[in-house]
Amino acid sequence: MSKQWRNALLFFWTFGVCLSAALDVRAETDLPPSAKVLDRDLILYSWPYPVISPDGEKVAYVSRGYVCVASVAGGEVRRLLEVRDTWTHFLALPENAYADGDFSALARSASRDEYNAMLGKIKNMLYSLQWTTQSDGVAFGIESYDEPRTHTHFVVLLTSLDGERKKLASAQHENTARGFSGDFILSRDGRHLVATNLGRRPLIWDVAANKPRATPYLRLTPSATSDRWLAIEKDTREVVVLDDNFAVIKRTNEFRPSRSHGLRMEWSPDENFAILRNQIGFDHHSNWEGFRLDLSTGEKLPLEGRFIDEQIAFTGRGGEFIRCGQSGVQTRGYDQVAGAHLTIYPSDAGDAQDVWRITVEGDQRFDRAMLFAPGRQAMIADPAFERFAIALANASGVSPRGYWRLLNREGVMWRFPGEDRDARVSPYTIVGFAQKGQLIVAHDEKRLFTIPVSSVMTAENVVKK
Amino acid sequence: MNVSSNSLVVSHAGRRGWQPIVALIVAASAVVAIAAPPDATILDPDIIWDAGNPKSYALSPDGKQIAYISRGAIWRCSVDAGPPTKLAGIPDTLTDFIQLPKYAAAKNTVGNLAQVVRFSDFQALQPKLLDVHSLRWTPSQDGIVFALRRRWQSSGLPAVQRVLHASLDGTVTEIASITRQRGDEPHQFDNFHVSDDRQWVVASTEYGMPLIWDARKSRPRATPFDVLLPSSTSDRYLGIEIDSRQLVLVGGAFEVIKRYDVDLKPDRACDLTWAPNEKYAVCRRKGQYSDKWIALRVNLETGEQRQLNGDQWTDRFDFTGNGGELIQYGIKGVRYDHLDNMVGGYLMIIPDGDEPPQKLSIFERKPNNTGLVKLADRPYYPPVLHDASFTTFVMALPRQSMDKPGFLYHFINRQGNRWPAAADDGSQYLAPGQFLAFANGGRTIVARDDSQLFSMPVPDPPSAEASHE
Repeated sequence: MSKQWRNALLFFWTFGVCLSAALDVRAETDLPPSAKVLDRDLILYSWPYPVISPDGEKVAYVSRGYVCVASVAGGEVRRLLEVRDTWTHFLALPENAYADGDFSALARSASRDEYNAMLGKIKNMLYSLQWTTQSDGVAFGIESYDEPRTHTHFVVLLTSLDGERKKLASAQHENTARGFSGDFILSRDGRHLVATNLGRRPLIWDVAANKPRATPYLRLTPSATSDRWLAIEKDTREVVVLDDNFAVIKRTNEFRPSRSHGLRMEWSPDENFAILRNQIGFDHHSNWEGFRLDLSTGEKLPLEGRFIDEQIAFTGRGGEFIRCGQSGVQTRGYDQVAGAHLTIYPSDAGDAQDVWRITVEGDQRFDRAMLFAPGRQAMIADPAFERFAIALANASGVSPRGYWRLLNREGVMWRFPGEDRDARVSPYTIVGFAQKGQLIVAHDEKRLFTIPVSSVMTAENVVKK
Repeated sequence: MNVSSNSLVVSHAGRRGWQPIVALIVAASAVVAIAAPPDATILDPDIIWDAGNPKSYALSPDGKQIAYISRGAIWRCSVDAGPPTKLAGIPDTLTDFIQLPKYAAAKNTVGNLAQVVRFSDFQALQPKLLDVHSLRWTPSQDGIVFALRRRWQSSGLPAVQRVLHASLDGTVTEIASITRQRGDEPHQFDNFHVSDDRQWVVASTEYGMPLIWDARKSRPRATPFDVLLPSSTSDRYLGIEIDSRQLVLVGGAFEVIKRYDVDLKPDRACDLTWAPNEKYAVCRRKGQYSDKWIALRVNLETGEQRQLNGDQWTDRFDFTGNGGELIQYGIKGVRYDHLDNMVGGYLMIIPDGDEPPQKLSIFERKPNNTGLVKLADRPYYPPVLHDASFTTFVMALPRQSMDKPGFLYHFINRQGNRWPAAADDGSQYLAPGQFLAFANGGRTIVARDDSQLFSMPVPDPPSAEASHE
């Protein structure tokens, strides 16, 4: 990454932090009585986001310069590894305590030179925090650079819950060309990393050899239940199924169109269905066309939408999938938000059912109907896809603020207990569902906590039946 | 034409290589129609050569026939005697258009067509003009293969490139029709290699980026290589794998047979030269911001490496078959410059092992802007040719006279002796014409001027009088 890009990226990070901080109210508010605090001394940065383990029993996060793991049942927070010179490490330094974890407070108090010196101290970026499939360890990448920032190094580490560390990959970007510039996926068997590379062709990394290997695929989606992958093959553009060593084991005779401004691909847990979405629009448009494909019969269900950021996920019930996001209308200059929805498509050819939908007309339209926290999904489903947490934008829609709501399949909507605040997200930020959907993991500015789903789904919290 | 080893180039910076050097030399001999040397045998007395296409001819593997493009057709002819035989008509190619009076001005020039002919005539030609690529003989010499594609192809429209076979009796069959849709990368190709069984076509651009095309299924195949160089003697390939950037030996089914301990940096242009015996290779990497290069000659059996360096990306190598020995030749001074402005050229032998290179010929000359031909038609320096045994070379050397600038071909042997290819009266800019290839086991050289194709015997070195510089 060039120095100019690095500086530009730092600027936008800094800007984002300041914006978030300005919008947030950092004062602690009362949590619901049912909440159980897991960590009451958080300093989080915009990313990486806390992630819940596949077994639903633990949550990993980065706070105060440490990669931490907390049990959702409560107890001691385990600090697995300290990563110095990261954002949260810097914010947690004693000399910065007065800012209370708020970078904008630091920035406001600094002169220009001090501000630049401050940015120069952030030498490591921690990214792509994720759990192993077995929930026995946490993998993450650290991107680092030295002044004058001419060389970027990356290292991917796997840390077990008892603190044992293993280096999965390390290199300079200059030596790898298409390095780990974006998120990566750790394969289930731990033998490979797949760097998603920010929309470019992915890169398979051989962990044992610590080398990239030829990756003749335009897209790789891991199976949720096996070591196989669903892929778009380079040059042929064919949808293919790969084994654990990335060899083609099945061809579908379905092809990605040659014209594409982006591609999304989902694979059902039973590996019998796939959804492909090809983005057609660009610039101020991201409209897409796609289909659900029955990989056994070749049967296709055509799909289309106006925003590629719409979330689509298989529910684990055959070919059934949910579709959640903003709907829009095409205008001359851009695609305008006209509402939002959460819709369930049945496994068979039956009609799709709206669990929830809002529509706004003409002058009432605003720039968003759902709140996409930076990089975070606006809809989080529980493991059984029975309940959904969705982030709705404020009705005014004039600023990127919103609130979380809980939905079930029948369309009943609940508010989350707690104070609605003049913060970016109210009443707090939802991390996800834990303990087979029985708990909600959430955090505010200072605390990581859980609340029972049952304490949300009460009569007094019902917003809409 | 050198047929002893192949080379294929991948470059991120763009490179024109020797092709224009070969092609544009045509213009030198185009200025004044001169009779062929007295001992020459006229093979075709009336050619219209595709001056802009360096691959407009191919010598047969046995060195006894030449196939070439002329007058809107592909012809073949014995290197010993004419007349030629027409193999295939290739309408809408440049030499076909040039037969029309309104395009006659484009004959034997490499100038900008839009300026050479009336612009309205150019506009009529522009959407139709097809170029011939990768003309070569089949290994069995039962015919020739070649590819046709549009010269000016809009990236917003499908690009069709047809790969064809013309048998000796004139039957033309299509091997593949490679259609690339809008958005496909690469969209258009410059080089086409057909496997001996005609199942596969490996198409690549001048920057590399190969695509394996299944001719029987008429569709592409995933191509995990940044460079894929066919062997000149087997169905194997030498490749640079994508992402790993490792040098690999690739089988006829495009499977990786062997991996070599050579990794090439991903952010640099690189190319490969492969010995016909497949035991040696030169892996070359271009400088990041310059034309300089660093290369490794690799013994593919032992892994032994020798580093080579050079100043011009247009430098070329050919393995001689004597262990890892190879010849290296190129120009000195300003890259791509015309003959009149070029500073110099060289030919040297890099021996097997670590012995220092043997400089066979090297010259430097003061740039001269008062050439015989106008600037647009000034040719590039032609490549060195060699016979099959690498005992005799032919190289264009500058005249000493400032009154009659230009070049005269000289033969050079391994001892560094040199002797002129023909008597020279200075009337031709490049005398005695454009040399195309050694033939007949090195006893004959095939050449052309602006209107005729001819062959001439390679004269014996006048050993007593030969100069040795």
